[in-house]
Amino acid sequence: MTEQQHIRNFSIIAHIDHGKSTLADRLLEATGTLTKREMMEQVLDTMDLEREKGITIKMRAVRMAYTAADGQLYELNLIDTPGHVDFSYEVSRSLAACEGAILVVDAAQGVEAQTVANVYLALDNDLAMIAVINKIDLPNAMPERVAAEVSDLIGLMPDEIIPASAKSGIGIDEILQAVVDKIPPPSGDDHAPLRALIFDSHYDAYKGVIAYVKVVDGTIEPDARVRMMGTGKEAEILEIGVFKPVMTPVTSLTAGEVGYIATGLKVVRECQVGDTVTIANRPAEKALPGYRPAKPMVFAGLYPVDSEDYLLLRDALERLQLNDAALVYEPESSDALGFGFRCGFLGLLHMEIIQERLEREFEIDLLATAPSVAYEVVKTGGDIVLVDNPSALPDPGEIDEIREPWMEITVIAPARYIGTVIDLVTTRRGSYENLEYLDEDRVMIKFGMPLGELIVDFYDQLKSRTQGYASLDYSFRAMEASNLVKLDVLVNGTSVDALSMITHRDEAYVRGRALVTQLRALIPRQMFDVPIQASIGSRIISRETVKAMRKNVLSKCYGGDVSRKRKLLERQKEGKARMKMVGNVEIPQEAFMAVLSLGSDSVTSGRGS
Amino acid sequence: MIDTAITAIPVPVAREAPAGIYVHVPFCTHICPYCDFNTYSGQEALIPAYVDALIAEMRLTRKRVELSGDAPTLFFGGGTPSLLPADQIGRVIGVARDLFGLTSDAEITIEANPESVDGEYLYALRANGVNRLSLGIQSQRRAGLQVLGRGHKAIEAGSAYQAARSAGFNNISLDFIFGWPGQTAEDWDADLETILDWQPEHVSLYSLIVEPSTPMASAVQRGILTVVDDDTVADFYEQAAARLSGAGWQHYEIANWAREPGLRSRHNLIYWQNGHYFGFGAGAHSHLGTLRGSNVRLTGSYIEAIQAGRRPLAMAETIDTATEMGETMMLGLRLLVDGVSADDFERRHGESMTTRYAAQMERFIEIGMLSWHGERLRLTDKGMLLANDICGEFLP
Repeated sequence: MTEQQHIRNFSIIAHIDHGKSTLADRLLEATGTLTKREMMEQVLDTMDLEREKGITIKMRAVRMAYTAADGQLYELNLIDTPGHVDFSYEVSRSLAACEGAILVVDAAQGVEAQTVANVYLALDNDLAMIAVINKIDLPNAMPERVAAEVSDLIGLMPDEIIPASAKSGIGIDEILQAVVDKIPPPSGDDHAPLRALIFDSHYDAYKGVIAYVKVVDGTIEPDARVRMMGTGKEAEILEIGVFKPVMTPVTSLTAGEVGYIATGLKVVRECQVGDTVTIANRPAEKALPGYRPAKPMVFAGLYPVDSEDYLLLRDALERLQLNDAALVYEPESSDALGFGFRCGFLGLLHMEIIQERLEREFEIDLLATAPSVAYEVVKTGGDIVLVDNPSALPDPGEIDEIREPWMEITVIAPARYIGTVIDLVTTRRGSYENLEYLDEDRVMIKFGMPLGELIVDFYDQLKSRTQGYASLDYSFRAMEASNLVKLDVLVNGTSVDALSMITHRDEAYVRGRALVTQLRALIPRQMFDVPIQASIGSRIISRETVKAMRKNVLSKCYGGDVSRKRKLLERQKEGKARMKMVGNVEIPQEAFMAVLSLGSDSVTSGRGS
Repeated sequence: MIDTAITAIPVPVAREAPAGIYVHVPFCTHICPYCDFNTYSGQEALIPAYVDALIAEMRLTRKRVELSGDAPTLFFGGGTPSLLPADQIGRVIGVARDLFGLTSDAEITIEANPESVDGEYLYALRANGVNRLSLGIQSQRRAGLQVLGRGHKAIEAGSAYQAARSAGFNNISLDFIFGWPGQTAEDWDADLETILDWQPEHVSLYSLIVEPSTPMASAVQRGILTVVDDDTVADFYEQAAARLSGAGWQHYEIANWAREPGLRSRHNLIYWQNGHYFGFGAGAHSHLGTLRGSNVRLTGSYIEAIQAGRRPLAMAETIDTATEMGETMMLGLRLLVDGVSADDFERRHGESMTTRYAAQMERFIEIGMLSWHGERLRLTDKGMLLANDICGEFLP
């Protein structure tokens, strides 16, 4: 154990690509925690996907030993945070485990929306801040100007801001010394009942759920029985330890220390981020503040392209859920797509990551329906039901009101794009609220917007209309009543459930028109005219017709070669067997895939800032 | 359409109905660019040996099979059977009669190209027992003959037809092809006019199918030729049906019309009734009992096999009951007047057609593709152009 005055717990917060991971690598190197040779590039990002997307999905914690200018040895715990707004709750819990944070800002890019959001999170947690301007050796670096932005943002004097280049190793010693000097040591009570904050967890096949904890008060010893105060779940400790950065068992973890508890629990859901661990037979009176169970915000149906993969998909989701408390799923069936699962995600990036892991790690070809949000439907009797699947919306006659999630949106962009951004926001039913100049030509615009609009192509549109300069952050604000309707697509009079969507009444026509036009081009001609319609309730708002196929006949006699004729017909029939029947109409699965991917191409690549 | 009562034939035929005979002649002086039939040019020197082989194969086969009756039809198809000298044709007919007992009114057909026949030859065919002639006209439009790569001119077709009449042929069928690249409705109307003007007993109107790995397919692929789109071909088809029915012809099969019900092709009817037939010659197909077989395709290999005393079989498959019933539907539904008889079906297969295919019938009757005519199930006018989609659904 280490005396608390020799412990410093801190995070690095940064906008994506501003150099957080590279800085973490340098700190590990400089403290001798890992030699260069041992270190893979960017050790903290261990998942392939994270490295590829340049973001950190799962946090890791690492303990470093550092001899400061006063000659004393300090234990520095670096707690990594995910870099995406979908995971902002996890970020807030990581920050809650720290006493300080290093804010990294790119010397060329300046302050961005995610920087601001993270700074506010850090300030909410009363963290001491160390500001670092990174990449000062880039040719287009503007360190003075960025320093001015940063000092405006967090109220530091420009000379307190450390210029650095993590890539070239400039400023690393100054940063380590600042961690010791500026960040206060933890101040927990060693003798109070145990309270340890879970800031991350992962599932290990041998040791069950490993909870990553910061001990706030008290002491953990390996033979205790612990209780999660939020979920009430209890577990025998199998092992406790610290990250060096490999998991290394220890005999105790005392107040102020960061480490792990192997719980033997089977799913991370029972041991969620934000929960407080205490000792079962000597429990703390009050849990640490801020726990809230992970709550999915974006929903979509996931279907195997090959229906034979259904069980494989179920097992894969089960496996992923072991490690992901935010992922929820339940079986769902669709006339058009067969059997699959309705899944809930924290956001679009989370959805995309899950989809890619299913396809990459489990090799399942997936078909995803357009993402939607969860609506609150107030029924005429006063009951409130939660609807996360458009086809489950009650009849219009039974609906008194539909409420949808509204988000608080922050966009930071060069001032010349103010008009563009506000235009985009207002066409998405957003309402402008506030505009603030960060410096002479960068502005921060705040507005409210329905989440349902945010998940349809908004981020891509924002990026493309601002030549990539805008950054985005958002958080949930409230459920608000809207004039929403269910848009159905009917093929030959039969509703295609997979294509139903809930949309604002004013946009229903445009969306209906687009879907109907796409489908008309994709559905092969049948033996009869096939009307394709978009409807709201019983009112048809758009219609196209796939004209009947007129000719498919072999006129040749083939001199009695009946086998050949039969085989030709058998081949045609096999082709049809791969189609889905919707109301007497054979629709190739590719048609659904094309429509769904047309609608969601831009959606699933809509990475938050 | 003409009332069924006049023309009703059993569809399918009984299992023990006597088999017809098909004889394949795989020789052509040149190969038309759309053709993917089993035929070869420049091998005419093999003709005498080939005819000997045909006769030997008939003898070989006769030793293995029991006959349930005299053969009602003999059909020389090709290729260009009219490249065989008339006396050779006569020899084959004679052997067939000796071995398989042709009925006294047997239909004996030969396919011929206009350029390969003259009055003398046609007269000789008649004298040797041929009583039906099938002339490959394909088109009387110059553009049509050219794009189809035919070896004759329009005027030669006319003379061949006249010569056949003079030689005493009173049962002549003409083949036409529609939907050839560049064909217009006017072109097609002119060809239909020729048919009505000439008054043959029978016509077969085939829509052009660009078969893979034919010279035409590669011309289409390289953009030299453009196929007529399916909707236009459907228009042409309806145009033909309307003109011929208007003139009192019977549209008895998807691609076949008879001037009178009694003038239908009896040999081809056997195919559509899911009946049995012997197939002799290179690449010829046979259907006997539950076996469908075909011979080796190459002329040389065929002759060699026969000379070595081997059966020249290249492929044989046993048709299981479900497939046999499916074939009955697939083939029989092409007969637009007769359709498939529920009674004949049950007699042949020992199973009820309406029970077995209840689902298909319900679906296709509902959308107007099939209809009942008494106890016969038939394609409707709408259904006949989509016969593939309908017939395929009856296959197991």
